Amino acid sequence: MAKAASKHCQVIMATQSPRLVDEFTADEIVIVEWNEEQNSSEFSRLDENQLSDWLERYSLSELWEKNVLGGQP
Amino acid sequence: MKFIRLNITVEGQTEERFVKDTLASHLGHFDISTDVRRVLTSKDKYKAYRGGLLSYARAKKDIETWLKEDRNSDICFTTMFDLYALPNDFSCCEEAQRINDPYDKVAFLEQAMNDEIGDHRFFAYIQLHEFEALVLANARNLECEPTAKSVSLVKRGYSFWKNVGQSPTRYGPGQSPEPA
Repeated sequence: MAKAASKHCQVIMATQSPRLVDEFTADEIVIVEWNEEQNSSEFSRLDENQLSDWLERYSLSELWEKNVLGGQP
Repeated sequence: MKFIRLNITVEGQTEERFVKDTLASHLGHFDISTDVRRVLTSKDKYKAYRGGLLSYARAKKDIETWLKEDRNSDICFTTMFDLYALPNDFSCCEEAQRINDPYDKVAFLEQAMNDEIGDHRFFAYIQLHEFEALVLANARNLECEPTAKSVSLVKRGYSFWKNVGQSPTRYGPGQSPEPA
């Protein structure tokens, strides 16, 4: 649904669902983390190439859980 | 003082929370910033019910991938794995079984792992006592759980081990807890 809609306009979703994350590729995901020192939110887009060694062995939701991606409580 | 970054590979969620909530702020006082990743995920839940790391090969691959990802020379890497239920495929596992002294055993296994990973930034840490034992190591912290009787029991146990000056897991069943 999101992919179909994205043909017409940009779709931004915020989620805490590991299963939803697995429907997308690393390049489509932006991690948002709270930086206490700077008192601000930090956005960083995942890099598929940089993660390639990890993605060979794990799904995105697993990497999220392992704290390889960041964005954890 | 130079700022040091420390990347810790831990077993599961309990250790991860400990590093984030307790260890990170403690090490912060020494200008050490920590990052933590865990080997096990919820997919391992059913296999992991007995605790332990399940597969050394997998943990090792996780560590190697992280070493490769982060090539900076100013980063140190370490682990937090329990000696208890250490997987059978751990390096030199059979040789280690023949070492009776638990401290020697841990030192031997850590060295074996350092040699195998073969990166000067990596220093293995194997936990002789299960993580839970560390949580309970300071009996005074249990005083906030106000069951007078159990607190006094815990205190007695605490002073006993303190006097003996040895750690509880040095002794197997039926062994006398006298200093070696």
